Amino acid sequence: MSAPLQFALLGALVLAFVILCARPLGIYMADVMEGKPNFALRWGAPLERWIYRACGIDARSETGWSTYTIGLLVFNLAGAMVVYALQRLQQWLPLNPQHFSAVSADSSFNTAMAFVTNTDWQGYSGESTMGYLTQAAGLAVQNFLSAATGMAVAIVLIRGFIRRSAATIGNFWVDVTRSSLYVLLPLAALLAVALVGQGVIQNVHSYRDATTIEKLTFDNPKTDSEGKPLLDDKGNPVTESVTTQTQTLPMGPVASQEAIKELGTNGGGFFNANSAHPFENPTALSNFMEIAAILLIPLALTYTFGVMVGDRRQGYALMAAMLILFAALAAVAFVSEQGGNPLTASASVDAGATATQSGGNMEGKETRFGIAASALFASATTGTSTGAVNSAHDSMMPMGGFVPLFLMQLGELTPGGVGTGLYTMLIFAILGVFIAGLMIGRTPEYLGKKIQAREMKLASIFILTTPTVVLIGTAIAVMTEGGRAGVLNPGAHGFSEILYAFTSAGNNNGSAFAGISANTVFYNVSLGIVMWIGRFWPIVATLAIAGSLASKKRVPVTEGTMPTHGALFTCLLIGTIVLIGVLNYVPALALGPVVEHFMLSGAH
Amino acid sequence: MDIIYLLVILGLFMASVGLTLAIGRLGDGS
Repeated sequence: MSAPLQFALLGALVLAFVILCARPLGIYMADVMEGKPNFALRWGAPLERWIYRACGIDARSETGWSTYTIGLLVFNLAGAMVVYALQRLQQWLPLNPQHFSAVSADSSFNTAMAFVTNTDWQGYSGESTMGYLTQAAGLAVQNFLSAATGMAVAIVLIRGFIRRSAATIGNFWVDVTRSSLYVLLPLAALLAVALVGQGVIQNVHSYRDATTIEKLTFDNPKTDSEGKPLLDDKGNPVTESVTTQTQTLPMGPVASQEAIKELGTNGGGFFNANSAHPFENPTALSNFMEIAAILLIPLALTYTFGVMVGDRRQGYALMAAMLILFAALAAVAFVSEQGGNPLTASASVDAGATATQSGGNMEGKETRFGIAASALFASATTGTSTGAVNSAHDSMMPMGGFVPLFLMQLGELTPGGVGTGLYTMLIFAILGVFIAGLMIGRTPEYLGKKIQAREMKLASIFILTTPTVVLIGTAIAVMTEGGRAGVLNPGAHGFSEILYAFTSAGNNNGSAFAGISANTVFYNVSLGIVMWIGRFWPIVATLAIAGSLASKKRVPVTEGTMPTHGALFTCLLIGTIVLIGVLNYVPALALGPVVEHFMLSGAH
Repeated sequence: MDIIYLLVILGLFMASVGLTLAIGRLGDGS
């Protein structure tokens, strides 16, 4: 089978499977989040009531948007404190068979920010830093709760469209409980079992030593007492030559974390190699399941949206925009990677695909996945807020690396994170109808709600927050010693590494371009701050928009109302997304992957 | 050291609450 056909077939299979599963899941989520009686609510009612009683929650009361927002912020503040404390105290806590010492304060801060914001940026190496309790009770719990937070915000924005002259938008504690209890937990349990079936490990054993057949000699980087690499006077890593015939195999409760890592679009790997590690993602089938899990809930939420607003075509229009952008950019990634490095070809190396080799650019890719599954995974993980990786994005060709970077910069809405994808897409829909309204001279409306100055001001806060923190953060890193010290590659590629790090943090993705030493005080602190602002300021604006819309009356549909369920609206939406993404980021992209691409072409 | 990072977390939280309150005071602009 030819490589392009393999890519097209794999992509079509994954998308067909996800769309097939997304429909019933989307309808189910609409029922659950609105409390319409179904089998899950009946079975889960006693547990749900117990949770409310134990936490002192009045499930029948609803609040306005500002009280809802402050509840959400307090909840996530508490989550950040718990994750921070677990890391700093882990040497005294149980389930730490490797006796890992406390994680450094700056790394603990960064990781706490990363996991409450659904970013899951990892400056640390999981298997050599985190005890099992920290992984399970800190990181995996936040994988559920951060995804539940995102889903709650998306549901509230939908309520904003469907409620009329309402002062309340919902109950945050009920929304988070229901999305965790009825959606994320059962799906994660199912996927964890399926992954165990493929060979993903699930235990709390201490690490195992295996004796290798051959002796291995390698340069081992020296680290200080906090696990950070030691550098010499010139800033190069200090290494020592080590010969060994023993390989340590890390263990742990991986499958349970892997499942919610993908389903919750979190992305924080149990191991440093993330989904490239054979204990996280051992087979082609587990890889298929993980890509599908990444895309499932964000796509299903478009059905939820259609069901809740009473017109499923509205959801289909959003889904079409998501999928068109996703497919187009995934194809660019695949073509770039399969095309390979022109310098390799000019050196008389056969880089073409044959029956015995994949051809193209296999640097940083697992042979068990190949180029098609790696390009698809890279596009899925950055088109959502996941950030899990099954290949090294840093090793992609310049235009291959451009794709994950640009997918994040578009706002991660192809199809986006759990909840975040839908509400980001809805903000772009509001912008789209506003632009269309300006062109035709009518008051913009979306789903029967007039879009006025307040909504546009809030949408502007939403749209501008992330590019502001990403570009200012990148500029500061480029200008300061602390920022430049972490870069391992010179020139345009080094700039891409910094831009990628801040783009990933600001958009709450969490994948890394690697090639950058991010476990430093500069990057731990700056990226931590960027992650929080990039997550919660747009959420505040979204909830304010929801409150504003909910308080409005619904205007009747007339002949002058622009339809928002057809191909024309989908094209308008895609145009708005691409236009804003390009306007925000083209100058920065031109200095990174674009110039690197032309340098490579020029050298060729 | 811990107190500094906990204060940074608290500061980020307070800034977000501040944004919420500021938006609450934002008129409809019409």
